[in-house]
Amino acid sequence: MPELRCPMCGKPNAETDEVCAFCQARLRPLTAAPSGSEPPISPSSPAEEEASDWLVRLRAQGTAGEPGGTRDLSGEAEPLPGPDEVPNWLARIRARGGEEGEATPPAAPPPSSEISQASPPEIPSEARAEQQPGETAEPEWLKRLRVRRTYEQEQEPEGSPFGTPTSARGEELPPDWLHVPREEGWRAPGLATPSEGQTAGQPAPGEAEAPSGPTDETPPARVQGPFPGGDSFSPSAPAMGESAQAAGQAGPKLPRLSPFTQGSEELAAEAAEAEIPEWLARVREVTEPAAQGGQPQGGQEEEGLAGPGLDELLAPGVLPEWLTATQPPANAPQIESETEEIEHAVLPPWLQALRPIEGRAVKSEGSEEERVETAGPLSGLKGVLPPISVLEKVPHPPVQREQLEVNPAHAAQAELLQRVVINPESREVKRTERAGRRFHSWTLGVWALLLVAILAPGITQTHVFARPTTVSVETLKLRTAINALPVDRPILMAFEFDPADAAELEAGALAVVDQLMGRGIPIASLSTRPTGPAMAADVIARGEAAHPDYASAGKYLPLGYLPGDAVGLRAFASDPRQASGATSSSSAWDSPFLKPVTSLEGFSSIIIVVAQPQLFQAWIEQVHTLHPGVPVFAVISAAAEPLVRPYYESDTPSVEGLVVGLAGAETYACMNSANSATGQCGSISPADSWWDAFGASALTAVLVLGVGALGSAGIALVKHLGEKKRD
Amino acid sequence: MAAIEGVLALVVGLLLAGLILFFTFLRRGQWPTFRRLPALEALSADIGRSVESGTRLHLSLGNGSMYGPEASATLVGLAALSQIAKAGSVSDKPPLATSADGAVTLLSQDVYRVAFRHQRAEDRYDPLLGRIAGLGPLGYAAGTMHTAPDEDVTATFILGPQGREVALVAEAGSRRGDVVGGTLDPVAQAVLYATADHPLIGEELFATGAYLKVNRAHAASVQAQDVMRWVVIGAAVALAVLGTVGIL
Amino acid sequence: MKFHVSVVVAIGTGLLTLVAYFVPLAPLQAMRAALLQIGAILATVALLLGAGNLLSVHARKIRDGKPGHLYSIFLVISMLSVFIMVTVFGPQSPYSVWIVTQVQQPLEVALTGLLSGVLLIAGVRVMFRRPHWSTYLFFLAAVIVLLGTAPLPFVAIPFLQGFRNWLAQVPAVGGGRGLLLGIALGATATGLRVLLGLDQPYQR
Repeated sequence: MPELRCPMCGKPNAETDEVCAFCQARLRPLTAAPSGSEPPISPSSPAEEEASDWLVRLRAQGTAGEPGGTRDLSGEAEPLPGPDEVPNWLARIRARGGEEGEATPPAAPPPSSEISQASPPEIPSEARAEQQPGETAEPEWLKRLRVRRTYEQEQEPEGSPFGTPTSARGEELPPDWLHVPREEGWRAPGLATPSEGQTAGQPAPGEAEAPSGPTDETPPARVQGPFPGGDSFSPSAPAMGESAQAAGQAGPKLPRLSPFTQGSEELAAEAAEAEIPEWLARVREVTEPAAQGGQPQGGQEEEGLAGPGLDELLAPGVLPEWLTATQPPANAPQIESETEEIEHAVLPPWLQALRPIEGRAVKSEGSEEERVETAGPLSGLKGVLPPISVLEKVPHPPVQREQLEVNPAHAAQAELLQRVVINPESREVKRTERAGRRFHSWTLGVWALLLVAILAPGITQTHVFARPTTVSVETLKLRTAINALPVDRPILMAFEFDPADAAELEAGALAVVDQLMGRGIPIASLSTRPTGPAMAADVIARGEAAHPDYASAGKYLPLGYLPGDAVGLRAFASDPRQASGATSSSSAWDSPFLKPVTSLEGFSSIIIVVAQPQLFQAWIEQVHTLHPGVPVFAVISAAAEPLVRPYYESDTPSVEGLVVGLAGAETYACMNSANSATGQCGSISPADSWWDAFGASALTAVLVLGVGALGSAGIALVKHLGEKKRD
Repeated sequence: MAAIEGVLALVVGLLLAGLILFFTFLRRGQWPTFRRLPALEALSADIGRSVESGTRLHLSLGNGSMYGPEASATLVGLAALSQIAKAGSVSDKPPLATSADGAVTLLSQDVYRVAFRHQRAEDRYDPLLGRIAGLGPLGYAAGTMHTAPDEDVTATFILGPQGREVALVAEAGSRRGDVVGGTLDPVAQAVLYATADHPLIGEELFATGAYLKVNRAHAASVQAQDVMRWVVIGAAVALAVLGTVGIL
Repeated sequence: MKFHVSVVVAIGTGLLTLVAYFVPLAPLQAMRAALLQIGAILATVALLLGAGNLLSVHARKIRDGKPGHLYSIFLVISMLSVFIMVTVFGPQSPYSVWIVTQVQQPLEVALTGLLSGVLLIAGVRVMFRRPHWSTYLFFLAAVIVLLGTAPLPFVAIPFLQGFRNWLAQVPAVGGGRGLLLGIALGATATGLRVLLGLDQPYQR
């Protein structure tokens, strides 16, 4: 089956394929005539007909590996014959030429027509018939060649543009010029002529420059890309760059062509023996001096190039249209632009304002129209980027800064940005205080009221607020328990409050210390607060002031500061001496009251003076759980009562007695100094001096809160009624 | 009785640990959906707002130590600090963390260091971002009252153990911006209810890590606490009924 | 979960101390006691470090001349003088006690008084800011406790004190217990996270 060689990869494809099965390149250009039709070959003259015939036949011929086939681009090289050997193809041609000489002359050639790229031209039936006997191994091209020779012999054309047919014998070979690359300066008809400024050696637009081959003084010849569909013709045919001359005839040496001809020097030598047509020889004589001189081909030379033979070649109808076509045929299907259906995007105004007014890129020639590539492997394709020389002509659009359309809002923002960047001070944003957090005047009134309430009882020395008269059960239990404690065993008193809580707790602590000192029970003080030892010392000192003999007995045993909070407490509960030995004075543990104490069990009880419930919990959890046999009592603030009371009210209470707040301290102090006969309180406790101030401030707070509640409720009600009315 | 209490404590601890591990590893791919907490939503919003506006955040870690029962609240504050520090490390004014304990201060500095390293901003790390404002509860409150106006603070987060003196901190912070507060002391919680814009009541403080997405373990803890809460409720109701009936 | 030496030490120490609470073995108890002593010593060192940090913060404030650096100068002077005095004379010497009782205590009491005024104003403000039924309930509870705790002039209302006691010992304790239970669960979960290595406040 005849095959179509891919112009890109050179691999064989089926005749009917449109795209290559290997590289997906188009096998035929897009400007080809509608497939399925076989445009008639219509040479205007017999010579033209003859030219088209042989070309058509040549295109349809030849596959790799076929005996007598032309060399292809696939790289499969036939074994090159030696210098003295006759190549196989030549031998075969000679053999067949002898046979054909006896054959009948062929019938008239078919009418000339455009050579179809889709299908090869038909071989005349007579010629085909001639080829049938013994044709099985004969390539198509050879068959056609034979037919042509026969026809030529009959016609005895003169001045054939193809010159005298040559062969190894001088008769059967295809025209050698077909195997010889177009040399420098010679252009196929229809192709662009070298433009001005283009020096010899530079590829013309649309032409691919062959990479340089073997070093030679002569510039590399230009290789015309493989013709699309021209499968039978291979530019890599032997003798590229070497004149194909008949044996024994020496012709002008042509510049060497490299890319496809690497290794084909031997074949080139072979082909050089073949006779070249006269017209080609004339062309070479004209061009060779120009090529060696490096001068561009001028018009005169082009005229010289386009000698009588070239004129005939260039005559319409001689060469196939695809060789000469620079533009797609008139009846070629036009690919409609799809862009007409796409709506152009509407740019927003702000984007339009950013566009420069002037600066449209210069459109390249033919850019609006679909430019069709006419040469090279991309021939026939539309939308191909133009060569560099064309692109370089595109000027850069000028930048028109002052032409920007800036609206006032943009200008203001740009100015603001510039100001912020330039002036660092403008970056500082002044912050105003939050609304509602400013110091309102009504707060001054509240402060004033509070101050008056606190100071007035002290200033006026009024006592209008009733003293507590009832003693709570937990307070009574504590007093009773202390009264039952042994006097020879010390008691551990923990001062776990800060100076801020001293006002509330000192009264209760003083009352308890007063009772302890009155009974002569030694007191060992400890604190996990840094200021605790100082607070303890102050309370003890005030108590000793009322009990001078207690101080002289040396029954106060300060154990100092215990670091580590709960961890320290647990360590103290495990080993009191070791945990507190470093911080307490050396005489404390050496005192006769503490010498027998080796663990917490040595203390008769523990009294915790605390304001925060968490600290109380720490003592219970870390100390009492380890020594549940040691009773625990507490002097607490009123705020801690809700969280401490559960420890007192549980079935297995952890704390056995409580003194709560100022009221508890007042009652405890009253009990300490009460007259057993009359039941009247004796000495005034420290809490007594604060009782009226405490009462007055509490009432003031209730008053302020009440006014606030009424005010907010009234405002909310008015707002609600207003919304209701609106609805 | 002490033995029973010990056993009960051990059972509760083991159960809680098992639930935390279960939710952390076996439900790793699922991040639970928690109910809305306006306080923590405000916290997240304030973090972003301060970074954008180039102002400072103040995180009050409280006056607790790492040796007492309040250490858990301190740990919650440090976990929140890790997220706040990461977000604020790219800001012109990184957040401040104040405390009243040396160990807590050291930990906060370490958290800052890791956060800045995580954000590839080691050169901007300042160890004094974690600082002591004062020793003792009121000393800390007095020192913190000046942090908001002096350091250009626009949001104050109180996440740590504090007493009623937290009112001073919250009042000073409220003059400059939002105040989000949570602590362990019920008295302080009542104070925060009155003074803070967004108070955290009860154990909502322990959900901070989960809402800020510190890691999966924080979310697992919240889930485990939810389960255990129902267990405790059931146990309390059952014991109350049994006690009322007379069995116990 | 990255494992590091610090993680191993933290987890090991915590587990050992916890187990020693439940298992009454002598070696365990001894180790626990030792660990607790170490913890107490570290707490003392941390206190000193805290003081150092406070000094450095205010020293920088003085050096940079930031707003309020005058107060920082007073702070640094007072801090150093008290430190020297207590170190020389002892924490329970009359001089040290005098500083605490005559300087620090009045200052802190003044702050506490300021606190009471701030709380009062905040209580009023919250009623305007959040006019909700819970806010008015909050106000009502505060009024009842104040009236039941503080003495009343000229007249004593017995049921008020009893109602206040009931309010403080029943609903408040119940609510407080509920809060404390939840807080205890949260604290336990937080501690377990550290023990299990899921949360590492010391290394991130």
